[in-house]
Amino acid sequence: MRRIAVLLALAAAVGGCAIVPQNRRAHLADPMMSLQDESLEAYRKQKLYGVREGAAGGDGASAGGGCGCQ
Amino acid sequence: MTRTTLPAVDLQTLDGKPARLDELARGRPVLVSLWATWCDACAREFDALARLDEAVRGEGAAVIAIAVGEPLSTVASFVQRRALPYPQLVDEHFQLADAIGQTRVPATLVLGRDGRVLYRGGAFDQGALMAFRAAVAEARAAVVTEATGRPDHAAR
Amino acid sequence: MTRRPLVAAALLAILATPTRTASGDALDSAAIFGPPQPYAIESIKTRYTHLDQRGHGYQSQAGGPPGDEALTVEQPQLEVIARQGEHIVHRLWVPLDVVTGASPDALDAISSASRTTEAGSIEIASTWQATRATAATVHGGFHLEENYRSYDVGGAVTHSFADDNATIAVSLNQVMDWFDGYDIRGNRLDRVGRSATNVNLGLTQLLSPTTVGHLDYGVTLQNGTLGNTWNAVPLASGTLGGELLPAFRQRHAFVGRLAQWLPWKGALHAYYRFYVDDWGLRAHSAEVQLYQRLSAWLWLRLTYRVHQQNGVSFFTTAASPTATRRTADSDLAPFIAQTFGGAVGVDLRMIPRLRQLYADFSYERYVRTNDLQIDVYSAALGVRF
Repeated sequence: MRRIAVLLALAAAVGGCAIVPQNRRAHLADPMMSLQDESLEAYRKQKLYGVREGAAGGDGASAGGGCGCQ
Repeated sequence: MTRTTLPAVDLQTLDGKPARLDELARGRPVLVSLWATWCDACAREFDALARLDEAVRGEGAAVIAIAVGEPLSTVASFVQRRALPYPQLVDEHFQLADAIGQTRVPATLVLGRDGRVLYRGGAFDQGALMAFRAAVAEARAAVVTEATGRPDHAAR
Repeated sequence: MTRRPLVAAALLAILATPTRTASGDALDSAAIFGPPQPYAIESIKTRYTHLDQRGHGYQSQAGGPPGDEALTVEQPQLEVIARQGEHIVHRLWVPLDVVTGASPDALDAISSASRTTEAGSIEIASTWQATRATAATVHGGFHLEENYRSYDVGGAVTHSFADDNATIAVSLNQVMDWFDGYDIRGNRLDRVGRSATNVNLGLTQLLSPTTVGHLDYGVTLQNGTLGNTWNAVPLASGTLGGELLPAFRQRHAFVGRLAQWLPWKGALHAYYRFYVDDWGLRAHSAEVQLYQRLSAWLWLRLTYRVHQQNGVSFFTTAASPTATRRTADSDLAPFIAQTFGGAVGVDLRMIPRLRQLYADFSYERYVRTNDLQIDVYSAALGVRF
């Protein structure tokens, strides 16, 4: 857990840099650049893999529970 | 309230002619909207800006939109597809945006008839409209004062 | 001198009407911004997915061992997003699953009674944009299945800073499940339950005008009956026994994502997850997606994913009858899984009355080294108003 806390602190420290002015985000605003899958696609993938693999979680979702299939 | 004047920066009209905002805005209050074709929040302003343009067109005030950071051809085809009715300029290389330190879209400026920046904000909202109304009233009062030599209290 | 009052009168006459118009009704807030909309539907999306699975696993009693794991899944989903005023957005989401197969539930595994299980959920999430940079979301839902009930509640807060170059997100989810237990012979046991508590921390950072990265950590603590109770385990004696799982599981997942814009109107997405839990399972999952825009309204996507896991420490296909922990579930075994896929999408913007109309179709093939293959077909249709 200490290593996790250190990693998160490091991530927060290097993050928060104002690197890209908001009016220069034309490419970042393209839907192709969205880091998150489209919501229904995300559920499709989460269900496909979460039910059939021993590993799950890590994308803001619970790893397990919620259906009779896992 | 920020009170600065606009820098003399060369922009382009949609048919590729050179234009300067400080010259186009001289002598009348202007609401300037900085925007981009990829910006969702900008698209939500189109209808309100069109209504504002219709309300003040030919009445001694103006709405001018400036597309920031995109090629002229991209902006021109977008404006044509969306049938945006108000005047458009293009700041392809961020010259104006950088000169006035404006890093966001949408952004709204209100210019007085003397070219000073009376208001600077984000999206076109109630605050921007209030500032523009005040600028229009101030301009009208100034015109009446110049013509009559007496201040026009009724206009305020 | 005598002409000055005349000029002034003429000017006043010209300015009188416009002035009243400009600073009066015509520049009124309602006239410019339109009447306030207390409630408006923002978007409606649907997705339909069909899965066709073939393979075998020792936990299944449908033939074998190893038993048949063949099944098909029909999975329709509906999502409606509505805006309430300026600062609140609601999301209603209804996913359904209809599973038809050799052993989708306990009764089917024993008697092949129906071979079909239907499941459905209703989820509602509400997001309050408290400030320009901070938003809070609460969600809750209910899941109904043949012998199974589940509730979930949760909340999340996101905050962006450094001119929106960085966003941090914290979320907490709680899931509670109840279901009827069955032993491997189909005898009904007591009602059993389990819970899952999940916390996530995420950081998204713009790295350049063409690059964005994301780091995420999630921990899930599960308690209770963590299997379905009717999974079989082959015993060293040649007979079948029930699955015996610990009543607690601590699961950690670390995720990194990167999206890079490509100059030929494409984008490259990379995903990596390291997973570890206290059942002895470690896994690495990596995915690469390549997007290509073919025109303003048409795009393509290619996907490759690989997942490798070592299996839980008590996985076996010949368990000791006296073992206190044992499973033969093929999902908990050591294996490597690969996914190959592609998608094509249509994205039409600025249609009259609609901000966006889009559709996509995708095909993926999932292949596991321990005898499981799935073909996945999915199609989506959505509109934004």
